[in-house]
Amino acid sequence: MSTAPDGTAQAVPSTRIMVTGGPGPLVVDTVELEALAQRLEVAADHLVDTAAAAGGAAAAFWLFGYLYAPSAAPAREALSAEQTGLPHMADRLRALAGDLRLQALWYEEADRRVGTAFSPGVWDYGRHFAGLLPAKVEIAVRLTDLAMVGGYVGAGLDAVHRGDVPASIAAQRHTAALADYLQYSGGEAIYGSAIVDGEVIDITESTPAERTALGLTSPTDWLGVIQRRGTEYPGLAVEQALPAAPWGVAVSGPWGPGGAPRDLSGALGPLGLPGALGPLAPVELAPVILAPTALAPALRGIMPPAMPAPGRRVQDPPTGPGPALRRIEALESRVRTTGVGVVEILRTTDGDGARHWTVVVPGTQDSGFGGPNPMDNETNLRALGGAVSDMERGVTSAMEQAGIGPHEPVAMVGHSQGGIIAARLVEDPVFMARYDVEAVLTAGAPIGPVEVPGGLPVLSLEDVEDHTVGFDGQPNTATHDHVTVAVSAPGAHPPHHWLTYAGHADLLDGLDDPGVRAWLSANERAMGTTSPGARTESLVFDIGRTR
Amino acid sequence: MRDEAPVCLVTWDESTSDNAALRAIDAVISARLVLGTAWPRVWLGSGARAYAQELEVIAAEVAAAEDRLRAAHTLVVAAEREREYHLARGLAG
Repeated sequence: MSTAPDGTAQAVPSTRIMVTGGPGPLVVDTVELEALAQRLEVAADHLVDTAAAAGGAAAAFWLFGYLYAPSAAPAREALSAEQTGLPHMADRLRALAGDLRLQALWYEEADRRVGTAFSPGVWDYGRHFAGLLPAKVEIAVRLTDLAMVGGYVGAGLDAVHRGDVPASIAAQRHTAALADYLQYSGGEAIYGSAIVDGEVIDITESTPAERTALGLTSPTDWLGVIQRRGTEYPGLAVEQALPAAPWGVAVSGPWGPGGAPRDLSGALGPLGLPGALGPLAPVELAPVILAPTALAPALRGIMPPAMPAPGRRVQDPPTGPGPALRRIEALESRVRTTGVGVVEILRTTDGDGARHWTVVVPGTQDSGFGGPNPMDNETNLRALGGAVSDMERGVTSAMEQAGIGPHEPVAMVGHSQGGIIAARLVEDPVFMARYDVEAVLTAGAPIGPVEVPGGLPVLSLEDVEDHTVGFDGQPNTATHDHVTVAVSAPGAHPPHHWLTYAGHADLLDGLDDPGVRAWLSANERAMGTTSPGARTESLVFDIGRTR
Repeated sequence: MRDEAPVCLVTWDESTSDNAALRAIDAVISARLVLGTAWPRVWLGSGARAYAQELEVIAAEVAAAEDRLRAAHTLVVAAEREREYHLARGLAG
């Protein structure tokens, strides 16, 4: 509710929060929610009738000459007040009914179960072997495929823009439909595998959306190469930004202006070992693709630096999820200057000398595929598909260079792509064996297929009008430790923007939900910024692909 | 959730303020009664708690509106009596 200039209460669309997952009981009968919504609307109609009758009574004073009766004026004023105020109350009831219907829709979607059964159909085999058929038949098959995909995409866009259901739900439904059609379209998909940069990935246990994403990596890689006129970026370098330099001014990495890579040959130490020149040396990672659970070789090759990496003092450190998400503003500003990816690691030393870490990973910054900036759609497809992406490797390298100890608590915060990266990292048992991640926040990230490890508190923020969260084609699995908080906040910033999610995160403190409370406690412990005597420093790392 | 919500079946002659005010009271009572049947029975969870809290606030406001309308009706009755008195004096005069 808000207040109009004349002091009367105004009915406005309210912010609605829906929580799934966590230790608390959740029982929903969506038929009951619809019945409740209908009753609220009946009550609203009665209130409108009340207002009309009150108005009629007030008008009768004028019509039938009560003006000379001393009691008439207060009676008329009282009735007029009800005539004005009751319709607003009716509007609130209708808004509440709308909220109930939204919640019914959300809970129905949250119940959607996506199978992982591996069963290509006749058409999938036909598509795969079309190359063996006469040219006319092959062309017909390809054109049919194109028409079908165009139809799915067009219908999805239309549904999102029409607004019959929230954009996230429309995107989720249409992504699921498209994924069902496209899941076996990748080169080797009908044999149960996907080949990403020469590595064979088993997709028999994947979801349709994961299979589809992996199947699209190859054609989009080619698309990227064509866009860049043949230039490829097989390498990856991770370098800490010099803390003395103001953000957005100094570009000290292996990338020139606009992200053009410089020659790294003189920057690497003997044997090309990362970190050999100290914590400020750029770390060049070999252009190899790692299996999802094979980050160990990369981790073993990078020893924690003997000296702590220098940090830049943070005067107003984030004390919760909202302020942590607001750190992304400066990171995105840096991306615009450097042209490459970025991650911020906050090192908090409490009064007892114990260190806590917060890893902040922004979302997609580049709409291309495979260019110098790894925060692009290539990373999106690989991360969504479950293949190791350059950003996973980059964030892992940055965490190593920062010197995060194996038993030091870590909080991970990711927006959009950053949320997928954070979720994919904690899904990896090797990563979790190396780091003590104690809380994860994903904001606007489609992480439905990710199997979050039990015992790790994960909170996923989703704006119901953010279509991006539906790109996984399924809801997040509601578990004891994985809480999804869906927010409907009409009139907020663009739904997918990090600032919108920062605002949503600020609402968490006011929620009386055991899952949310447990996550907030875990996150506060992991970040450590509210500990007495805590001092926080910022370590910013540039992550870029190199030639 | 199959029980029917109460519906007002009385029609009022609204030619006087008294009747119109009574009809307003009747309608607001109907709203209050319907809201009394809008509490969740099966739904459990933080969403249900938030809904119940909001419904409680609105139901209290509807009850308060009913009280105000009853008070206004008392004033209407008084005003009507005064009107009749003045009319009688006017006729007498």
